[in-house]
Amino acid sequence: MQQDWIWGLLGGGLIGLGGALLLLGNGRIMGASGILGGLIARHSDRALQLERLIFVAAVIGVPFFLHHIVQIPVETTVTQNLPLLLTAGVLVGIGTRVANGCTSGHGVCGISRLSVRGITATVLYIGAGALTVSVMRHLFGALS
Amino acid sequence: MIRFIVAALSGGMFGAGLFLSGMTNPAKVQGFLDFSAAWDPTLIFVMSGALVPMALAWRLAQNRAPLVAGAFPAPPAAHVDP
Repeated sequence: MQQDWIWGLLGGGLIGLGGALLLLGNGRIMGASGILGGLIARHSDRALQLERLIFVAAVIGVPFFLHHIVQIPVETTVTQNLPLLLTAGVLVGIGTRVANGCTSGHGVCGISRLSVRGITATVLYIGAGALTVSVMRHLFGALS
Repeated sequence: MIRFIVAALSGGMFGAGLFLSGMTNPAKVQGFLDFSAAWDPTLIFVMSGALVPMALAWRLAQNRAPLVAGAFPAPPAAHVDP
């Protein structure tokens, strides 16, 4: 679509506002993988767990609502290949824990405060992601 | 109580932002990561759009405490873990 970049900027602005709200309100970094991983962490207090649970429910629930109830026509193509999805999910889980963060934590929250770790992580996972997509698409012909 | 409302609003904005920008679509993210054919730069705009409010928030977070609960995270480490 021609206006993709406008929706990108608008959506990105919303993501940034969400991160700003969580930081200024609760003093927390809006890192999706960290919050998700925190759900199964031991030794954390109940209120924090509930806060994470509510956050994750909203992250999933709002797009679900916008897609299925409001029926905003945003194309979402997810592969029907269940083993592929599960493998990808596990790899993303391992990768984000090893890297201590993902696109929202290192990318949005880290780069915005000029964190050296955040910037390094972002450059590396974008590079690794690009390499992986190239290999999968052009060598194995998958993902297309 | 308010901290849970903050979490719900923040998560909702995060989810809505991902959805409206097309980032819930794996094909668009892959389109960004594949520089070869029809490169899709949308992710750059999403990232730029998100960095502006977030950078302002870090500025506002200086020399004060969070409005509802908790404490601000420690400053970022100056080194990269091996």
